[in-house]
Amino acid sequence: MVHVLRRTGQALRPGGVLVSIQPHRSKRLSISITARSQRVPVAALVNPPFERYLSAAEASLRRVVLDRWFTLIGRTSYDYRTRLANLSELDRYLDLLSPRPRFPPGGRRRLNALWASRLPGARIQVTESMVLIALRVTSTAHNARR
Amino acid sequence: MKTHSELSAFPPPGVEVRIIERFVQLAGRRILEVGCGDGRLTFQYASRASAVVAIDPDPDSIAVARRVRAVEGVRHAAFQVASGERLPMSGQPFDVALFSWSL
Repeated sequence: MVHVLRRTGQALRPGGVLVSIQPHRSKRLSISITARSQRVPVAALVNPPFERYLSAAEASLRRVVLDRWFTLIGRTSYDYRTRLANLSELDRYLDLLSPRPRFPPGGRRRLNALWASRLPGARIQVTESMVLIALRVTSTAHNARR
Repeated sequence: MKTHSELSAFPPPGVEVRIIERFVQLAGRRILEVGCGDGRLTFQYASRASAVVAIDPDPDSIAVARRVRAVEGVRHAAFQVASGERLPMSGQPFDVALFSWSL
């Protein structure tokens, strides 16, 4: 990944900007049930293989800054929510994610129990977080191209 | 109930571009997007950029992006099958490089 970031730096004009959008490493996908302005948290899903990818990606971004190929412009995070109608829609949503996250022990049972006793109009709410990291390329990248 | 095609695990359209533009303006810029997939994010900003080169190693995703480009008429966006290890290095340098959920 460091190699790809360096190659990208060489493809940028002097002062060009690299932006990486990726899932937040430490804020896990969480599931809750909402109804009538109430929200009942159910579980935060786990995804150890994916968390290892994200750690590697963040380490690569740190590496190219430490090596002075880029300077950090800024970093921000953003939470976004998706409301789903039922459990099968939740399963289809989770199938979109690769690798698929899984419930912690007891989490699926808790979801099923809370969903079985839901209020009319209830929805399943999935909250995910993304982080955006912006870097500016330095002259190091362009000197390396020569 | 959402149909399968409507179901998305990505942020709502427009959110990512709005946050990117807190750090860098995309209008009038030459943009390289690495890991563009089917162009989901690309088509949210491409009409404002001066030129876009969007790459992804998956030929099927690039084929989808090219079909959408033809429908949307975004002529200055080029979709190429390539990986981050083999970036298009010829031509003018880019102002902005985006890694959209691909690093």
